[in-house]
Amino acid sequence: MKPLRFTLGLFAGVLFGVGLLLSGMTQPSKVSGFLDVTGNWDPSLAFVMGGAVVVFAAGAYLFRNRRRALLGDPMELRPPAVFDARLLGGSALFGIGWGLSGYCPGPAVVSVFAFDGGLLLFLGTMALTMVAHDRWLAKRTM
Amino acid sequence: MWNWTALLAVSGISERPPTLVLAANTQASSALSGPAIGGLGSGNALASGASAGLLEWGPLTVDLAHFTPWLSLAGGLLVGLSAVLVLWLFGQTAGISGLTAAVARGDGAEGGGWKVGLLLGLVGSGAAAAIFAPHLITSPTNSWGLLAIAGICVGLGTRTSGGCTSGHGVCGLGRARPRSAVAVVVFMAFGALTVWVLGLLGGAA
Repeated sequence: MKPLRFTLGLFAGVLFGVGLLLSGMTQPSKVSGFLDVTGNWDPSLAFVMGGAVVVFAAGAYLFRNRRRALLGDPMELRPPAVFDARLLGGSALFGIGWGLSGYCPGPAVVSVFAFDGGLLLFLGTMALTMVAHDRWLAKRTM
Repeated sequence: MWNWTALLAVSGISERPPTLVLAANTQASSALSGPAIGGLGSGNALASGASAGLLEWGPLTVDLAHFTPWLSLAGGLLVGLSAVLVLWLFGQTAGISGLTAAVARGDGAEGGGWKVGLLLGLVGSGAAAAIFAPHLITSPTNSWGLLAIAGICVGLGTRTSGGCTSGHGVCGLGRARPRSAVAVVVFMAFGALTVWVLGLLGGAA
């Protein structure tokens, strides 16, 4: 554990969390409203992803030729562009869970201290499943 | 533009400000209804839509009562900035599912502890919001059974496909990775399908 790295990570996390909170992603009903395209559609969350993608695209373009990150780590390599059942099935499964709960991982983590029983249950099964996957089902990419 | 900053300053820290939210909605409706009315060729859409909080836009019914374009955009910019920071400092993708899995596995110390730090930053920002701006965090509406199943789907789905809304959505799309574009289209489609089916079944099953 290195204090500088921990602290910089903490700062990035606070920034990320405040972004999610302002954007409305920590309100599951708002997420459902965004996914409810056949009902009363709330397009707000398209602005979240739009804004984030544009900023990140600019940053990634700026750093495209860097070999190493500021703190010396090698820049992450581009994963092989594999389009397999894992990508399609996994994304479908994630979408189903997102629709059922109104949570993707980030906002769920941010909401921990609201101490909602249902949310904690969601986080618990999510984390357990992740660990189980990584222990027994993980394959080459990630 | 002044409205944008006022909104950001006020509703982020104080309790729910109904007047300001209303102001944002009005502004949003006028911004959005420009092209909409052009498309429909009718001036009635705005009048009827504004009173009901709904706007007919092509085949879609836009829920103006809950539409928060400026706050959502501001939040998105912050999220993007944080992801850029992680790329710049650590050379990595700020994918929350991957980070959560690493910490849950007990590998949080890898990379010098920035992963644990980032997750604690997320949790800390939420804790502060729970105290100072509790309206920003609302409870899920579906049953615990559905939430437990949802957790399994999200946990398994994000690990198998290699990312979630942040890893594939923000970082993958931001780097124009076809793999992530496919993932985003698939999870959005299945998310929408799931909400549609839930609606048919009458909300929480």
